[in-house]
Amino acid sequence: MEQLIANILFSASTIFLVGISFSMIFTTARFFHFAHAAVITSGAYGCFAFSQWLTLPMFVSVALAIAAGTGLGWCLELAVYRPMRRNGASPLILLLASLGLYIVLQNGISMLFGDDTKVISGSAVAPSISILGARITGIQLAVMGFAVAVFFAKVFLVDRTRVGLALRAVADSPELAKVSGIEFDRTMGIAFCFGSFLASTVGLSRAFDVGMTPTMGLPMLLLGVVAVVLGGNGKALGVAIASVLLASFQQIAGWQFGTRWEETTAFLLLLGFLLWRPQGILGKPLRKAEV
Amino acid sequence: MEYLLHILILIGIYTMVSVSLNLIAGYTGLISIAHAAFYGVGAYVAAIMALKLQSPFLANIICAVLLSSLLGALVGIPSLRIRDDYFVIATFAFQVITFSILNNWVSFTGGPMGLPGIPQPTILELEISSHLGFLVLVGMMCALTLWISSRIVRSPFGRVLKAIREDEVFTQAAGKNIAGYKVLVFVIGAGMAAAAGVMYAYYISFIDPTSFTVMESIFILSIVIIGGAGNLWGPVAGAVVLVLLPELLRFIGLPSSVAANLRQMIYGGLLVTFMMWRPKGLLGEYAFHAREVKK
Repeated sequence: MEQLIANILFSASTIFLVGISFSMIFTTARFFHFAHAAVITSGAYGCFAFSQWLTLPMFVSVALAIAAGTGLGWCLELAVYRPMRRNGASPLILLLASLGLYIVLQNGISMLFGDDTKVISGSAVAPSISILGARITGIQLAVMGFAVAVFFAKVFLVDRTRVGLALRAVADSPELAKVSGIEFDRTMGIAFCFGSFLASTVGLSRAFDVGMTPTMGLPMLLLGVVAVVLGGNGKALGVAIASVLLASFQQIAGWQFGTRWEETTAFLLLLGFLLWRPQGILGKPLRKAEV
Repeated sequence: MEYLLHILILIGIYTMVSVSLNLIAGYTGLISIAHAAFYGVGAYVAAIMALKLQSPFLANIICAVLLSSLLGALVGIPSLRIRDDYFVIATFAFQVITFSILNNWVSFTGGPMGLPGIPQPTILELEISSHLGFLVLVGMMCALTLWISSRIVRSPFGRVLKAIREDEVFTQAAGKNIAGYKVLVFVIGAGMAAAAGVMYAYYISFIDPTSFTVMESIFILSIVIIGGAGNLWGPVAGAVVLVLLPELLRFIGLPSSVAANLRQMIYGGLLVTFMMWRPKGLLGEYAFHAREVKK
């Protein structure tokens, strides 16, 4: 039982972090950034390349990998999405382009590193520690701690700072934000940087925990997206509640029916919500004409 | 010669499946990433019936189409309440669930091992066993699909579909039952995709879940969009380009592991390129433009 709760909390932390990283971009740019999955993966493989191929010390590799992941997300915005937005591309067109980007990046990683599961050797496999009867590894504990920190940081950043104000303004009404003198493109860049930073960090932590494959990003992203949709409006609290709900559902289903049905359960939950409560747990309903 | 026929058969099958998606995505404007699921359900229903019941080809294809249409109705229903990005996510969920059932329900679908040894189809005492025979069969099915599709889009029904794509609220205000239309177009599209799946299963004579993944759905969507959404001949052009282009890689002599990745990178890259510079696709009439929105 204790172990189940520990697993739920860890899994919820990962989902929450991915969800927040996705919603930073989704609420600001208002389109479905699929290539985010490749950004998640890139953090892990970046670290692998720096530590294994270039044999840099671990902490340098970690820092460089996160920087590379952040840079990748930012480059996508600069090189692809920004010019497309200037041409008046609709969110659906951006979504389709990001699907293409995801395919290119994921296969690029496959080609460079191979499809087999890679682990970062030399990362001290932290001996699991026992807390209240549940066994947790150091990296899992770190992820949970990071999730809590991000929760408060997100609340602080978005509600209390000028950058957060700009992000919310652009999310609410791009035109109004522009005429109010908010630098639209810069704000968008910031959203992409923050989102990609978090995403590559989560990817990296997953790599330390269970290793990495080129396709690991997509299932992680999808769970995060499910949490954002369930949570409602992209607020940290909604995403957090939804993450815990989703993780409990998944872990309990995995425990009862076997882990292979975990993904199915998560998506059934998503479909249920989309059909009966599309606005999510904390969201307000929108009428069709407003959307 | 065998190789050339093989390529033509593949183009035919992909034309069928993307023509059916074109009805949903191109004409009605509902982007769906669940099409490989319909295609896969068609293939699996036919394969399971052929292997376990030894039932004839025509019975299998009818059952596959009916069952997949039913699933299509199920996928179409969320489109009544949610739209755009969220609808894409919902179809994504259907795709993932379908794949996971094909992959995990081992006793029924064979799981990751797939279903080998699907027999050659026999139509009216005529066994189709050569590549040429298959090409004729696929060609006929393809022509039928295109004919149905052209009849649909030129009919009043097709006009309503386009109206829904252009302005849903207005269409509703004009007294059209948009819920019925949306579900119906999914039923039709899913049924046609299933027919393509049946052809695939009989042609390859072995199916496993990896042929019906999210990636396959995205590939089919790419065919529609690169070929030109909302144009009858768009998916044909898309299928020709997207099946032929990666085949050229064979002649460069790359190792197969690299070629598989490169093949996907090509269509991913094409998708991005087209979205950036020509969102209408090669022959397209519709570019998923933003609806007139006020928030």
